[in-house]
Amino acid sequence: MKKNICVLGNSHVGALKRAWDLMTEWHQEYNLVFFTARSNGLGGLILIDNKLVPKTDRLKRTITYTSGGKSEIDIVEYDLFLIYGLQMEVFFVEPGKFFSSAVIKQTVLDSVKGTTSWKIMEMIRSVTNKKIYVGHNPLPIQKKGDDRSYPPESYLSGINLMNDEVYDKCNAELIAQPADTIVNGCFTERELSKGSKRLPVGDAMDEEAHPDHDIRHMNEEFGKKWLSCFLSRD
Amino acid sequence: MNPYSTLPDRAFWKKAVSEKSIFDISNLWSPKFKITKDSRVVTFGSCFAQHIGNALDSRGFNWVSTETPPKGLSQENAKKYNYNIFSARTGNIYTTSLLKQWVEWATGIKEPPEEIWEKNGRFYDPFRPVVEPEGFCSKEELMLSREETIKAFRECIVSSDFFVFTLGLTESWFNSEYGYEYPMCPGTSAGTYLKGIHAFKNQMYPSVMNDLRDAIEIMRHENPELRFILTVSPVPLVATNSRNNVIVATMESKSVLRAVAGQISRGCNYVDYFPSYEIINSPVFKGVFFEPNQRSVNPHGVDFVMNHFFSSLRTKFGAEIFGKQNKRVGSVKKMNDLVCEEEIFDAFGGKE
Repeated sequence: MKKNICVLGNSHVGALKRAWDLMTEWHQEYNLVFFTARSNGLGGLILIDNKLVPKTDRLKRTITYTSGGKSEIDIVEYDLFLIYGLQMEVFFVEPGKFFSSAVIKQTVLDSVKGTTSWKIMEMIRSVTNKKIYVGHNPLPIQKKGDDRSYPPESYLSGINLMNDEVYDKCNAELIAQPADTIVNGCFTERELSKGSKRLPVGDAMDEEAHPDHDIRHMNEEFGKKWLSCFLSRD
Repeated sequence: MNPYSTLPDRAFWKKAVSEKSIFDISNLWSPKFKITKDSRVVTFGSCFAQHIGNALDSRGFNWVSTETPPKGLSQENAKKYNYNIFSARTGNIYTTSLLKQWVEWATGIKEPPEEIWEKNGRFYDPFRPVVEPEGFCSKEELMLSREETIKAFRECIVSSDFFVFTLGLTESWFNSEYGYEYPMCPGTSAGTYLKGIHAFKNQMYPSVMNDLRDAIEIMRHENPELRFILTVSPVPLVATNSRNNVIVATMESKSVLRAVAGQISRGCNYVDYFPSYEIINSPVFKGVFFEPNQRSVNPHGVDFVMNHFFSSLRTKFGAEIFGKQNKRVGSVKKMNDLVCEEEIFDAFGGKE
């Protein structure tokens, strides 16, 4: 019996979706259904009778396209959920800076609870107690001239802190980006951004490449590494 | 012909005041220094200093904070934890002696005391009693946080072009055993008042003057290019321990502070005085800028003061110092958005 995984997200899911299309045959035990919209489009989902329903026709058309025909998300249909991107940034303490534990805890709460990712997680959690995984926006590519370098433990301690303070309490888990995609402790390997394309939503921009100066969107190679790591947890 | 015959209109009451609406009164300040949008400006002092930082920031000037909150902390909670209130997380620096104390810590002339206050398992910094509303989780955390602030305060001294300081109080509390000063009377916002240890001192002109001069000279030694703009808070005392009526105590205190600011700014070409105190408090303005409690300054009053600050710069140095106008112009915060530690005294009032 295939495991149904509901993937919700924004443009960052593009890398995962393109990767999944290439790796489906090696993971036939899973059925991934993507409900995605560019930017903050999924902020337009509302909860009605155990379903996440689009508020607008435009969003309805988009998720119908990305999911392969489903115009709403019936939460009970899925075995687990992956919420990816959607304003979710990982928390870092800049090296050399000191903050009190109270300030750090408050920062973690603030940085999670204002996001669309959190809003969607809350709606799902109000219906089911099934596991919810959360993926943060990919770490950016290091810009030329930016010489920051964080110790490797900074990233993982940020992930652990967010899980301890927020996600553990709601049977959810923030997942770390694979270690082999990270350079200098807080950036994604430059090669994993090359040739990245826009999230396909069924419009004229689907095959467009992200502009050269884009440092936030990754390619399908990144998507493969991320999804392989994610699926290996199961 | 006499010396008065060539003076400008602003020197004569009739021309400067009698013939004008109070809202048209101008030329109260002729700035000594050209502050541009590139100038690095830091602000410290009593509550009213926050308005200057806010106004500079909202008009796109380079107001500098050297102790910024972690990325992701909401603006509301950054304020709760006293980030970006002043240029470092010192809390209010009400007196010139307290300023000197911070300067001495930041420059290594003196070591900060080891005193820590504990209540219900939480730890409070006697020198910044409200920066962490629920206190620190350990003594070590408190000391590390204090070190961070001292480091940030030092960064303000050595890397800024202008140091704006608002003089707030003459009444002060000291540790009589070791001589260091607290920003608040122990036992008010935190700590325990110990009679015989915690000593009250209502500072007079000479000590206020000497401490301010010393603080400025130490800072100039670290950064010879640093220039100062002094202001006096127009906000009356919340409470006085001087045994005087609070009105009398306020007038005495402000008079001392105003005189010191005037003396120093007249005597030093690297110190200026901006008359926010006069704009709010002069009888000419009939108290219109105060809230009904006749203490808090209404946001319109703050705007009036800060508009005067910027219009004076424009008059003296031309509009080019403003560059492109920032879209956030005019977003001066309400007075009740300020972080004023001394408000705690209100909780002890009304016992007569």
